[in-house]
Amino acid sequence: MSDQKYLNKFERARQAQTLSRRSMLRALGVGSGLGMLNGLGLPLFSGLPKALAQAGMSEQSAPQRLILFYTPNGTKKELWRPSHEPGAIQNLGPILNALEPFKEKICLFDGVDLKAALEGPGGPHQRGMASLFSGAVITEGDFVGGDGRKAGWGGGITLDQLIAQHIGNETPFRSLELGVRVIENMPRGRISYAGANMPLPPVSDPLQVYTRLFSGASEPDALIQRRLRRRQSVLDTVLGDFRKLEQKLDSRDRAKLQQHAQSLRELERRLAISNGQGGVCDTPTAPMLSDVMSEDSFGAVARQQIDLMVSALSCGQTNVASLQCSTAVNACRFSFLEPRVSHEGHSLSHAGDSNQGMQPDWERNLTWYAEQFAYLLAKLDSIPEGDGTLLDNTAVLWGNEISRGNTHDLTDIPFVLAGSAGGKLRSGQYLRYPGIAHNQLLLSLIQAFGIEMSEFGASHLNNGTLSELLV
Amino acid sequence: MKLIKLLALFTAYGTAFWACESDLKPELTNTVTLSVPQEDAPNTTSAPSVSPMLRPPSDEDQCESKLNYVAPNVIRRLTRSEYRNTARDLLGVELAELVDTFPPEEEVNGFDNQSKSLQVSALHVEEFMQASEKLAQVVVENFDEISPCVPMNEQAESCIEAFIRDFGFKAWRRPIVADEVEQMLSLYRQGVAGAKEDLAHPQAHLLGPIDPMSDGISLIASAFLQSPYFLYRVELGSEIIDSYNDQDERVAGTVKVLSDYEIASRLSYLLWRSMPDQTLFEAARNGELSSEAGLMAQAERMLLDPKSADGLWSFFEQWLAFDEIKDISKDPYVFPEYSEDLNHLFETEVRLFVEDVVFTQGDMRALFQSSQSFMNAELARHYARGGEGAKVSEDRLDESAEWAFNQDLSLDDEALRNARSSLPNGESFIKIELNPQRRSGLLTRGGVLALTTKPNMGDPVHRGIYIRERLLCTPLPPPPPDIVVVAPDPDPSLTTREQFKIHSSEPACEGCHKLVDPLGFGLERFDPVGRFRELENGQEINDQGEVVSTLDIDGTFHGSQELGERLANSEQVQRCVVLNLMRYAQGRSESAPEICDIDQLYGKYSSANYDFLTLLRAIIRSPSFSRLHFDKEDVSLNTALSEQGQ
Repeated sequence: MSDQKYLNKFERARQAQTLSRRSMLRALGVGSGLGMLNGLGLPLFSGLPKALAQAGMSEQSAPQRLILFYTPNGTKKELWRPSHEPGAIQNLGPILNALEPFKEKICLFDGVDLKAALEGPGGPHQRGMASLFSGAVITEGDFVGGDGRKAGWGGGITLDQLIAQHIGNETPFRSLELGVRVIENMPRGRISYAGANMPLPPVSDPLQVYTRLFSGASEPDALIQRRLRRRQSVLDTVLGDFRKLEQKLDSRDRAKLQQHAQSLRELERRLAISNGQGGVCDTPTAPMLSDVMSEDSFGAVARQQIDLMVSALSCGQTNVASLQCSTAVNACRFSFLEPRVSHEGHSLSHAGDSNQGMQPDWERNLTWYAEQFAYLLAKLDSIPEGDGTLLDNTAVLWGNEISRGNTHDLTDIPFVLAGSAGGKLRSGQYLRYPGIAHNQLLLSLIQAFGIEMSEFGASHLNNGTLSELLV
Repeated sequence: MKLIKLLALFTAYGTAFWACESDLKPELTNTVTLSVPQEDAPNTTSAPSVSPMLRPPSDEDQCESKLNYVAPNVIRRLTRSEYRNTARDLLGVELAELVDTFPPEEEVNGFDNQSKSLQVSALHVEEFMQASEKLAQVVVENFDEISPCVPMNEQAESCIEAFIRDFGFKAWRRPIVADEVEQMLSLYRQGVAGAKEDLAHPQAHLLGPIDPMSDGISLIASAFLQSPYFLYRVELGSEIIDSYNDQDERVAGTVKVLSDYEIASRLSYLLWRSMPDQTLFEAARNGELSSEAGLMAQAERMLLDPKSADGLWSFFEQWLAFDEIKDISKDPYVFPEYSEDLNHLFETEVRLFVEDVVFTQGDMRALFQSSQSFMNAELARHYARGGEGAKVSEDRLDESAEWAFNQDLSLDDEALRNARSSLPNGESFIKIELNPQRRSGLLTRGGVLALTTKPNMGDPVHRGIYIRERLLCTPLPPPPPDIVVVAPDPDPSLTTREQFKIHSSEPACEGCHKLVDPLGFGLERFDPVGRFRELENGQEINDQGEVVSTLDIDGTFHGSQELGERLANSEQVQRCVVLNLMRYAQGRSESAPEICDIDQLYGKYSSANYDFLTLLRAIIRSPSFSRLHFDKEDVSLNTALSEQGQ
């Protein structure tokens, strides 16, 4: 493994922590937000491989889950794809080598294009981000674009949010948006949207994620009831303010406040669920990192976010999550890799194909991303659910806003799809298409989650589903 | 279809950048070609047109009918910083990390306060709830100081009512009406009753100390702080004074005058990024803010408050990206002598410089050409170490910061003697005069120079984009869609300039790169960590640059001093200052009919020798500052509602 040194360092830090263990915890969601570290020095990987009972649901009816995984700046498709013709996956390209244990549980795609990103204003990274998981064309807005037009944000709801509307009703969190070093709060820094021009910010600090998900887990029932009752009294009053004020505002302002009130009602729902059916499962330990936004921490943060995401899914905290590894045009140097990487990722992705100084480092970046994806799959696959594993009940879609850094190609995106969403997707395939819009892939996933929709994203780019994929 | 070679030299800015080479190297056999089919897409390699907002209006603009336009906006949510400041001023204490977990604002126009992009998600409301609970705890703990009246027991509701009126007034930045008082009293009673139940709970011992009155008070405080009246700058306006139809590019609707309290908040959030203070509230209560004299009297008073320096810095640090200096990171392998500890010093240097320009020198031309700066020993030592070609002895560098300071900054003897006695160690900085031939204007400050280059190499493209986007207000279009690129190896034997000159030999690249590269070439005497250098890769530095496609400062120049003078005296640059301040002040992009109002602001600014505070005052004085555009459709709705007695 190319990040062996980092892993060792990380492992040592982990072992240095207090390993007091609590295996039965009530998963609460929004806890007190105070004193989140008291008494919770749990080992990071504690007990995750063993069976975890689902919150308020039997193992027989394990829910479907969705994960979106994002890495930036394209790949090298010639080193990514299998060396054989399409069909059952027999071997993997060198970049995806880490996925070898899962080749029967993944699908690889050639010829799936971000056609929606070939339209609209803005640069290729910007358009790619806006379209990647929405299939919609970027909006016009206030950011500089080409041909006299200015680019805005993503043009529609993304896959995760749409599916969360359908499978998120029973979980405290309808969805989770996690990030690794997402420092740009611009269109190229967002992958998830509640709707057109409504980007959702990811949380890049594992401790904050941990606090959201697991703080308060050790509190007595009576205290939880007390907090819930008080919060509901306040929220009722506040929602009353919103209702009264909305009537006095004009339509622009009213739309803004309605969005806010909707989020408050969602918070009320979550508080009620958290209280009603606290899940019983292992929770991870509180992550400890000093500077989560530094280049040095990038690898450790990615691992911790994956751990937290898997815990959240296995504990029934949410059924939908996304992990965004930095942003498009990510200017982060992987300083935690050994031997030393010369340049930051965006520069590496732009190197000429014959650039012997930079291309090997770029390939190491790409391999590292695949290793993190493999780590995620391994964790999901280590958790038994019913007759299979958590991975089997999940669809994990790994996307990239372009296919190649030194050309900004928006065609032939290196999509990897893992898991079968509870037996709804046909895994183990290497599929090749003649340059189809990725809306077909997104719509296939939507239908795999039992949602009856006939199109997704830009209407004119829709052409049904991928029949090879759906069971 | 064009076939172009691409260098591995790119910007990390929003637009991707193309570096080109005209000839194919023979060893490049495995070239990758890409064709993105966009038959209808126009060629975007030509220079972008300069926004009409940066030019004086013409007769066609018909300014007589357009002047004093009140453009539509969306209700403005408090940003993270505004929330933090407001909580501080409301409660008189600053809670560490209160807003650290709030999602960062989505940025538009480089600013965090642009109303359309201020989102509210599940994460936001959760954070607002948690923060309100922390603040409510502060209210409970300090109730004796915060409340005008301290009740004997939880039954003393008249005293609670006094607290509701007083705290609510400050939190909602307007008087509380009877219904609202009643609603909060009801919430108070719920809190008291609930606490009594909890005290009777069999597990009460697990609940910690419970006090019914405190429970009631904390619910009130939490509700006040999660209300839209706290989290948003609610503007309902009062009297309707005008209406627009869909003509002259104006958006149909009515124009209302803001209430005095609404004006007070506009003023305080512009100058302080926080809530009004007691004096400003008093002025609003007395109706003083509807008169220009009253409004300006308050503005003058507030400008003298140190909160204005913080507030205005927020504008500058966002406009000029100074807020990114703290995150500068350089490759320790290439720049072992660079440390991230320098970022803080770089930031202090530009902040003191900007404050000196705004509050002391009063002429924004100085921002681009002044050689005054602020220095401490540690920062001087960094500059003094020098870039390539500097003849610095490490021994002497350690021995005397003053000596080092002199090496880079070329002080004359007298200035050196002054500096020698006063150049401080530690956090304090002193004002000094730099050698103007070496360093003049903000573009020569280490923070800006380091910010606009790559972690491991120089980057004239990036520096050029900074000037073009931030100072000239002419952002660049993305690369043309029909381009085919083939990327070759960079040649390490070339200077930065030579490598990037390749851009100008390929027409498809030249279109954009001629706009930025030659601007950056003028700063080639500064290395990527901001040090002055004599050589690069053993070769003499050529710092000739060129400005193109501007309204008034095109032409070749040599070095940073000439570039700074050019920028300082450019009408386009000064109009860009006006445009940026308007976007920041209004929290939105400009709209077409505002061309006349923006021109009028520029007129006042330029005739005051580009005094920044004069421009700021002119914005506060302008009619649109105290007015509100109201969507037409809703006037009838509101009328209908009021007729129904709602």
